[in-house]
Amino acid sequence: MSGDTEFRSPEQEVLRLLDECAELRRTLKSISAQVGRMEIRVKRAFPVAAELARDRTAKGAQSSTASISSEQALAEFDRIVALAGKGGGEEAERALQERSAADLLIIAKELGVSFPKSKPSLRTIREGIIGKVRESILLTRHNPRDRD
Amino acid sequence: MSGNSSPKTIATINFKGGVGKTTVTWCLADTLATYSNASVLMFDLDAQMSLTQAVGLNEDSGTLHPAFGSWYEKSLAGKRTIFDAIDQYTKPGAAHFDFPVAYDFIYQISNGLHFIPSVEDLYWLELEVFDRDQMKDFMRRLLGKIVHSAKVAEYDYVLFDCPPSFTLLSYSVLSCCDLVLIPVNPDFFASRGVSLLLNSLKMRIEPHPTPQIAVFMNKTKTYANSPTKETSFYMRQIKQICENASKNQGIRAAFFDDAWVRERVGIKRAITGGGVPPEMVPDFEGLWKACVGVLK
Repeated sequence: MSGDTEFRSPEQEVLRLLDECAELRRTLKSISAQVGRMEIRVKRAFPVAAELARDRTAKGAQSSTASISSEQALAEFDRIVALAGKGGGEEAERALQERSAADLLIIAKELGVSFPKSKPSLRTIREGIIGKVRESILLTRHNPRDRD
Repeated sequence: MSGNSSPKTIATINFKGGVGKTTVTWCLADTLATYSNASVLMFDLDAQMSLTQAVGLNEDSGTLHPAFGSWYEKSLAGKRTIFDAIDQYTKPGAAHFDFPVAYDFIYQISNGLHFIPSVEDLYWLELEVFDRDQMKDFMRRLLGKIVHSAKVAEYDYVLFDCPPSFTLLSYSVLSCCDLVLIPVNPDFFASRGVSLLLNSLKMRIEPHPTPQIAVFMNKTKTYANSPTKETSFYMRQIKQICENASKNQGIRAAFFDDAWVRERVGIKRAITGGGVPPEMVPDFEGLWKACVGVLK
């Protein structure tokens, strides 16, 4: 340890850092609470404007996440299942590859696919959807023996 | 019920074990008997005897009057069980089906809910009965005896808890029941059985007409009081299977979109010591309403 610091040991320095982190967290919490209170007061004072702002935020979020609705996502899944069911496995995979990450995420979400990470990779999302495509095909496939 | 009119018969079946056939049969019968004036007869046709043991457990826990144990012993000793009825029906050289129906064969759980228990001997039924075609009419004939017996109540509904396989007894039930009720779960393996059943049933029970079939989601996982997306995926898949089977197989297969039964740990209480938990009653009332809707 250099002689120009005020700490006698590395442990002492770490302890001070942790104290400062805790103090900073408390300050941020306090600021966040103050901003929250201000936001609530503003929204109550200007309810119409607040409603408009909320709608705008919701629309913005929607457009930034996906270009398709929940219904369209399920319809797209059905189309991919139909493609794969007719032996067009490659075509089905290509259809998925052409989709944006946001579209794939909404398809996966509508199918109830869960991921271990909050931000799964494109490959993981595609594999999740392909898994559901396979399930869908297997659920309807049956090979009854012809009776004489 | 008036006169000797035939009761409506409902068979709960799925070739997959653990989907909740027994719990659903018990809860439907209990809900019907408790919350309506209907008179219900419940059959346990599964050699695993889960429903039969459930009645015993309910008595042990003090929920029901403790009389079943001694009644069951008498029924076994007096050869008044479902197996004895089959034995009599399939006996070589027997001129007619001579099996009088009284309360030594049917146990009275409560005023509105009566019960025909299972026996372990049903495990070996397939080995002992060789005449498949003769067996097909067994349940129809037995129900006729029950309907025409002056010694037992007149039943509005008969509910069958079937084994998780296509046994001679389930074959006999499916050949004569009004509604085949198939519980499924929101997972691949439980859902897989639906396609198998829908696409094979007609062929297996011909020349008898295929009964109305109804499929519903049991053990539904919920979020904010609605099925989760994952459950909805399986519900959608099964609905498509039902629609395709109706179109391609010429059968009547309905999927109950709205009559799902939620997954609750408390449901086990219903079968091992107590009635249907209050929060589950609306689910079973909804299921029953949907059943009545397709039975009309």
